[in-house]
Amino acid sequence: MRDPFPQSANGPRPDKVTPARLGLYAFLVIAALFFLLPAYVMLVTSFKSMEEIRSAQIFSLPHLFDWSAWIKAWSSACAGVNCTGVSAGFWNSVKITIPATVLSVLLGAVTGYALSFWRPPGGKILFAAITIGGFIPLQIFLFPMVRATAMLGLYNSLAGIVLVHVVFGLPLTTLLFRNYYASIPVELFKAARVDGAGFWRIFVSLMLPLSLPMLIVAGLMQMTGIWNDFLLGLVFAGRDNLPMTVQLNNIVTTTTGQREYNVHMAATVLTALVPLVAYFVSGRWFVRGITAGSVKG
Amino acid sequence: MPVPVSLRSVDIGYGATAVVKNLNLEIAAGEFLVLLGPSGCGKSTLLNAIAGLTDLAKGEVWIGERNVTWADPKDRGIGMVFQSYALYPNMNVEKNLSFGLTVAGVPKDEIVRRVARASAILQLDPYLKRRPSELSGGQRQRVAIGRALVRDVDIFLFDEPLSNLDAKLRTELRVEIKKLHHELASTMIYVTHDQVEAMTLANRIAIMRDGVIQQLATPREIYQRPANLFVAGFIGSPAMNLLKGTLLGSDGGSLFRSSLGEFDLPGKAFPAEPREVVAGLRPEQIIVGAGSGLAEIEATISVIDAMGPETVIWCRARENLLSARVAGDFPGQVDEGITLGLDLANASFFDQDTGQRLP
Ligand SMILES: Nc1ncnc2c1ncn2[C@@H]1O[C@H](COP(=O)(O)OP(=O)(O)O)[C@@H](O)[C@H]1O
Ligand SMILES: [Mg+2]
Repeated sequence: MRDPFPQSANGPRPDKVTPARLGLYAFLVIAALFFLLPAYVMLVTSFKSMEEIRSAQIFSLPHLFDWSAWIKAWSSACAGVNCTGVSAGFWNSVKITIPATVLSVLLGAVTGYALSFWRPPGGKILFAAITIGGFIPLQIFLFPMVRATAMLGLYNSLAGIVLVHVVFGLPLTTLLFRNYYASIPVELFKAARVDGAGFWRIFVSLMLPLSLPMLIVAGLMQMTGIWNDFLLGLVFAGRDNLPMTVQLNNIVTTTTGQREYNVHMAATVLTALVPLVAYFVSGRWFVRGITAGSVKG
Repeated sequence: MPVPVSLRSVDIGYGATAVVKNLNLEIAAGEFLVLLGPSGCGKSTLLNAIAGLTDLAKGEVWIGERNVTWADPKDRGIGMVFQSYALYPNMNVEKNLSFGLTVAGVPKDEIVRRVARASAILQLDPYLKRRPSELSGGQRQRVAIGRALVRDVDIFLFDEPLSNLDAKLRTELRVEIKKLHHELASTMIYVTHDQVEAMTLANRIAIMRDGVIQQLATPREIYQRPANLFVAGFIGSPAMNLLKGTLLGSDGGSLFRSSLGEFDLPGKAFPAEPREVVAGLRPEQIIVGAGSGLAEIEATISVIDAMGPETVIWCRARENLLSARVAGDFPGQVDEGITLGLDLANASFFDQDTGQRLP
């Protein structure tokens, strides 16, 4: 046993490197490498020529930085007979992601607000149903959803895929906003009611401005989720609106001629770029939103 | 124009649990009524029901000539001030004040005029452009009051508005609220668990316990003639001294017999049959020193609380611990023997079983 009250104790307690601390560091370093190494390999490979790639030194830096794979990946890589690169998919993904994200976040905010403050009759049951719905794997809904969108005449259309994303996004965004609003003192809502504000007035003038951190968190989660989606895009978007992920897959799996690893890597990085940039730009907000419940001002 | 409020046979509950049961309360126009009671007794619930923020299970709420039981908060002519201030954090003071007017569609110049007036009354001019987070607690609560003020409401509802403030600010703001009531002459209903606030502010106090009003009377009446043991114990600091004993009627007066002795109660006529009672004596109804002409007992000082202008001494007399209010320069020492005079002629007597006051 160490002496808990040493005679020489004075000032800050000295740092001690314990075995537990060392183990923790080792684990963190390994975890970091686990994620960083593949990213590194992808980046360096995308800048190499095919010749250099064939030399099979995957960790080495490229001798010569070569942008041509990136250009090809963006504008002329072939998916089957269709040689337009991932650019068409990029714009499709933009057209799907923006409206689907905005709609699912705003609708989630409204439903969360209504459930939290207005407590409609049956609201608790409704909320439970929404939450359970959010935990059921979406494959189960695939076929009914196909029939439903077909009935609405939206199957294989941009509006259709946006609708599907909004529907599948609502459980999560509703849950996020309901819990966020539960942390806002109900007196604030009561004060606004006494001031004469109604449902929409309170939402727009008070609750929405107060939920900026959660808007950003939910927006980011929805955006990445929708951007990264493959299955729904493949099933519901239709040939003309295939999102970037589906086109990337088609390019990578096209087997005519030799496999152009540099182009595939570049196309993959391009596809991952949007969520990546979004996280870098809003990381600070993201953390703030997640902890907002505990440290509200 | 001050407006009366009337609660008629009101039941309020959350789900199956009844918080307020069959409550009747008439509040006069321009009255300052304080709802006083321990926390959890249903004061806020009642206030929310008056505001229209909580539904009644039964009964009616009348404001002036109108039955507002089903009316929206905004149609009741009320303003409400909350313990947590409940200022809109995303708006500056000016916007906080004008929000209700903007919602109501009041013309711009009228809004400016009314905000300026409220801000002048509450001395908020230097802070109009600040966010609530940049204000002190007292300033925040003044803004909250201002929010009701600008709307020219008939009735102000306060839910423990001073509880979050420190002692000094609480006193300051209490005086301001009293002044405001004097100037506006509006009906004000004020919820608190602080007896000092209740005593100083109220025209009448309604003391609540478990959703039932125990006594509705002026502060003086409540202090001097508490209706039951609960009120007697709740009001007054230090609390009323309680002595168990028996009350016997006799010719020309009564007799109070307790472990401290037998005392005549001249001029107090109670029924002849003996009755188990509790005698209640305020600390100032116990006089230190012999020769007071009151019922005298011997006691020992056990604690001395110096408060500045006055001192409270706690004296042991057999199994009783009695508090007495004495002058600030009281010379006695702990463990000293002392003679106490009990002013039983002005004491309150309660039935031991029911706790109700005997007339
Ligand atoms: N929203 C609510 N749901 C269920 N019970 C409540 C709710 N608000 C208050 N209560 C209960 O009602 C009783 C009275 O509460 P309240 O009116 O806030 O008391 P007070 O304001 O006198 O402290 C308490 O027992 C409390 O637990
Ligand atoms: Mg309360």
